[in-house]
Amino acid sequence: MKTCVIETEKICKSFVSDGEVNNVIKNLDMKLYQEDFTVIMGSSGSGKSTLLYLLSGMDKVTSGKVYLKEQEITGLKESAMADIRKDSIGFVFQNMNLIPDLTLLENVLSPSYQSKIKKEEKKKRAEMLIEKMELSAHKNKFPNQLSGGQKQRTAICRALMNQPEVLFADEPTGALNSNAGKGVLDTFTKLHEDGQSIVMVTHDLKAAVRGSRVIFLRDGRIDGELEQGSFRQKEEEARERMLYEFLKERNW
Amino acid sequence: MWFKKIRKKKIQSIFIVLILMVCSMLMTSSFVIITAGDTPYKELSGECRSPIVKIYPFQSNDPAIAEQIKENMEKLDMVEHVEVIPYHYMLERIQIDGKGSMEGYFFDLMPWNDKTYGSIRILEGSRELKEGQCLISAVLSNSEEIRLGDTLNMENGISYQVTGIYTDPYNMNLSFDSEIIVKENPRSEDLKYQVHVFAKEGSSGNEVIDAYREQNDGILEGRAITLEARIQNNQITERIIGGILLGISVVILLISGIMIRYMIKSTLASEKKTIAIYKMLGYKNGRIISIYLKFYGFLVVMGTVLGSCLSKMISDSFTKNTFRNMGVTSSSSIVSAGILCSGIIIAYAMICVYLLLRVVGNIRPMEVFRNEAAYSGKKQRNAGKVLGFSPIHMAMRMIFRDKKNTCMLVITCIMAAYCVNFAATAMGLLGTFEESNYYWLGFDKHDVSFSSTDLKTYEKTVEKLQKEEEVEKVIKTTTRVAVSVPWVKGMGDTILSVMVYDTYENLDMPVIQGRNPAHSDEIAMGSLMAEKMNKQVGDYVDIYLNGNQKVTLLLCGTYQSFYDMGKSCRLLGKTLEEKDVSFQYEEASVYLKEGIEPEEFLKDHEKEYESDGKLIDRAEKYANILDMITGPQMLAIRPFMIMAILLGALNIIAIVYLKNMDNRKTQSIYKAIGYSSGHLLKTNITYVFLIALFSLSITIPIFIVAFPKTMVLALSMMGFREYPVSYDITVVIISNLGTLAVYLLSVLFASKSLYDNPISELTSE
Repeated sequence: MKTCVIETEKICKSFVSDGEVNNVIKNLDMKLYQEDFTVIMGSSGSGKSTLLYLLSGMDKVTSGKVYLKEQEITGLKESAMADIRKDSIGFVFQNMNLIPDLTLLENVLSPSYQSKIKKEEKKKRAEMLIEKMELSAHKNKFPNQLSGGQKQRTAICRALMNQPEVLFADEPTGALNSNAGKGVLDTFTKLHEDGQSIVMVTHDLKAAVRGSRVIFLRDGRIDGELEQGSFRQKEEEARERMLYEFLKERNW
Repeated sequence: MWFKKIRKKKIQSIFIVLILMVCSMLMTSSFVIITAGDTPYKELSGECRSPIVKIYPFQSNDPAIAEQIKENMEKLDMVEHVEVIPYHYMLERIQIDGKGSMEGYFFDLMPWNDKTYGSIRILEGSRELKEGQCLISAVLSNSEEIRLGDTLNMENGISYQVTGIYTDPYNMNLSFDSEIIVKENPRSEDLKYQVHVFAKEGSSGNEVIDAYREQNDGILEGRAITLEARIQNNQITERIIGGILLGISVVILLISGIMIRYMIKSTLASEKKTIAIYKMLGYKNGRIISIYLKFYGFLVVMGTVLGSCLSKMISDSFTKNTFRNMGVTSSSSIVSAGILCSGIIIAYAMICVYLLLRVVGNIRPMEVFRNEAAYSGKKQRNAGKVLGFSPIHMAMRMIFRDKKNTCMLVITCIMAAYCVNFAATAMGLLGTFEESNYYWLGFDKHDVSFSSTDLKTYEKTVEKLQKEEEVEKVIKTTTRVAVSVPWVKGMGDTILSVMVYDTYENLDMPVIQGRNPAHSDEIAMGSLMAEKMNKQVGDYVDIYLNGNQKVTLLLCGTYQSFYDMGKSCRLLGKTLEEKDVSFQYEEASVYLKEGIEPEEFLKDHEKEYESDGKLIDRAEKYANILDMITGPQMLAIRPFMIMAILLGALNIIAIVYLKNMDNRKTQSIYKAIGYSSGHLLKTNITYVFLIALFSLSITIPIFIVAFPKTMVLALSMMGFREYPVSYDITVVIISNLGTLAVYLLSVLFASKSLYDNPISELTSE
C-alpha cells in the first residue's frame, strides 16, 4: 500500500489579465505517493508548471485544498509556508535559479540555515552531495563560472540538502544540451532508486520515461495516467514506445 | 520612447526628482538669501540719499573737532556736502507706555536734519515733526512692537509720542546705534557731534575716507562708518544663513551624485537585455545613450526647475524680516539665482549621468543572452570563505561581496551622520553661548554689569557696590575710548574697539597667547588685528589714543573675540592716565560672592541703583550682540539637521529599495528554498545596521577631531584660533541613536516590496 505524500482537493487556479479571468487549473483532484517518480506532462498552456507550483506551495490556489502528508498547507501563513518549503520540499527549476553571489558550496548550503544539525555536519552533507554530483572541483566557483549541466546538478544538490519529502522539478533538462540533460536524468533516476519521491514536469519524452507514473494534463484537468514502474535502462526503448502511444491517444 | 520609461520606473523617477528638487531648492534659496538685500539696499540708499559716511569724532563733545573734520572734508573733490549734527547719546532708560523698558540697545537722540533725514523712507505716519513727537526706525518698531501713538518716556521726564516709523540703511540693525529722530534736541548741555558726509555720485565711503586721510597725514580724528560697511553689516545675518544653506546644498548635491549613480547602474543592470536587443536590432551606442540621456535629462531638469521655483518659500521665510524692516513687500526675484543654480545642478547631474551611460558601449548582446554575468576576479579570491545564512551572515556577505554598494552606503551614512552630529553639537554649543558670552566676546567673566547713567556719581556708586555684602569685587571698565592703528592706504577703518579695565589681575578673561596687560606699557590685541599688523606677542605696536596721540606699547597677549568682528584691544586704565588721555570709567564688572545668584542680587538692588545707572545680568547685557551671532546659526541649523537626516533616509530608502528591486529574483530564490520574507527583511536591516554602525564609529571620532578645527576655520576671519568644545555625551548619543533609528526605519520602508514578491516569478523569464 503506497503512502500518499501530497493530495489535492478540487484545486483551482485562475489568473486575471486585462480584466479577463483565465482558469488554468480546474477543480483538480490528485494524489502523489511516496517513493514515486511522478511525471506531469501536457501541451503548452495545459497548466503543468502552474500545478507544480501549487503542489509545492510556491504559489497559492484560488480555491480548493492541498495536503502535504495529511497536513493542509493552503491558507498557511507566509512564515509557516517558508518552513514547509525549507523542511519538506526541494525544488529544481528549468533555469536553475542559483543565487548569483553565492559559490556552488554556499548555494548548496543555503537551505540549511535553520537546521539544528551542527555546522560541520551541514558542510559535510553538502560536500557529500557535491561529490556525488561530481562537482567537488567547482565548489568554490560562482554560478556564472559553471556550465549548464553543472548548474543544474548544483540546483539538485541544493534541493536535496534538507532531505525533502518530495523533490519537485520543473523541466530540469529544458535548458540543457542532450549530454547534460542525460546526466541530470540519470541523477533523478538514481535518486528515485534510493527512495526519493519526485514530481517532475516535462514535455521531453526521454525525460518522461524515467518516471514511474505519468499524469497527462489538458486544459487544467487530468486527462489520463500511465503507470510505468521503476526505470531500467534496458527497457528505455519499450517504455518510450508505450509512452508515445499513451500520448498519441491524447493527441499530444 | 524615453517618456515611457518614466511610467516604468516611477519610484526611481520620483527619487531623482525629489532629491534634486531639495538640492535646487536649498541652493537657489541660499543664493537668493545672500543676494536678496543687494538691490533693495541700493534702492533704499538711493531713495534716502543717506550720507556716504557718518563720522563719530573721538572727542565727540567738542564741536570744534567736528567742524574741523567738516572743513577738511569739504576740500575733497568727491564730497558734495557735509553736515555737523549735534545729538544726545542716551544713557537713560526708555520706558514705553504699557510695554516696559527697552534694554540692551544703543540710542542716539537725533534732531531733524533736512539733508540727512529729508528723504528717509517713511513706512507709517508722517515725517513732519512737532515738539514732543519722534520718528523711530522700523526695526525698533518691529522688535519692540512700538506702534504709532505709543509714547517713549525718557528717565529725565521728557516724553515723545511716536508719529512716524522710518527706515534708512543706517538704521536696519539694533546691534548698532539706533537713531530716534526728534524736532530739536532738548539736552543742549550734554551734546555730542556727528559729521555726515554726502559724496558726489560714483564715490564710495571708503574712497572718501582714503582721500581724507591722504590729505591729512593719515589722520582722521573720529570713527568713520561708511554706507557700504553698514549695509554689509546689515546683511551679515542673511549671509551667514545663506552660507550655511549653500554648504548644505553642496553636500546634498554630492550625495545626490552618488544616488543618481546608483540608480543609473541599477537601471542599466535591469535593462541589460533590452539594451542588448536594441544593439542586435542595429541601434548604435549613441542612439541608445540618447534614449537614457533624454529620460534622465527630463527628470533632472524637472527636479531642478521645480526646486528653484519652490525655493521662494525658504528664501522668503529668512528674508521677510529684513524686507519688513525696509518696508518692501515683495522679495527679490528668484529668476537669476534659479537659472544659475539650475545650470550648476543640471550640468553636474548630467555629467554624472553621461559618465555612467558610457557603460552601454561595453554591453555585448551575446554575453547578455547567454546570461553571463561578469563577476570580478576579486570575488573569486574571496570565494573560499563560507559564511552562514543567518541575517547577520547574509548581511556580511552583502557587505563583502558588493563593495561598491557598501561604499556608497558608507559614504551616505558618514555624510549624513557628520551633518547630524555637527548640527546637534553646534546647537548645544550655541545654547551655552549666553552663559559663556564673556569667552566669545572677550570680556571678563563677571556676574552682573553696572552701566552708569550719571557719570558724576560713578565713583561713589562703585564704592557703594563694593561695600554690598553679596559683592566680592568690582572692576571699573569702559569701552568708550578711541583707539586706532596707523593707517595704510586701502585699509578702511583704523579703529579698534577697546576694553579698558582698571586691573586684569585674577580675572577670568582668556587669552590664546601671552597674558592680559599688567603694566601701563602693555596692550593685548585681538589675534586678527595682531596678524593684520604682522605683530607677535613680545613685539611693540604703535597705536593712536584719541585719534592723534601716538603711543608704543608692548604686545603682551592676543585673544579671540566676536566683539567688533575681532578688531579690538585690551588696555589698562593707568596706561591712559599716564599718557594723559582723558577718559572716564562708566561701567563696572561686579563679582558676587560664591552662592549668590545674579537674579537675587538684581532683585534686591536694581531699584536702589536706578538713579545712578543700570544693573544688568551679564547674559542680558550682551544678548543683542550674541543674538546677531547665534540667531542666524540657530535659525539655519535646525533645518540643516532635518535636511541631513531626511537626505540620509532618502538615500537609504533609494539604495535599499533599488537593491531589493535588483535582487528581486535572488530574493524569490531564497523564498523558494524556505527563507521567509521576515528573514530577508532582517538581513536588510542587519546590512544597513552594520554599515551605519561602522559609519558612525568612523564619523564620531573624525567629527570630534574635525569639528573644532572646522569652526576655527569658519571663524578665522574674525581671528579665532581656538574653539573649545565640551561634547555633551547625551546629545551625541541621542543624535546618533536617532540617526540610526531613522536609517533602520528607512530600511523597513524600503523593504516593503519583500513581502509582495511572488516566488512564481521564478518561472517567468
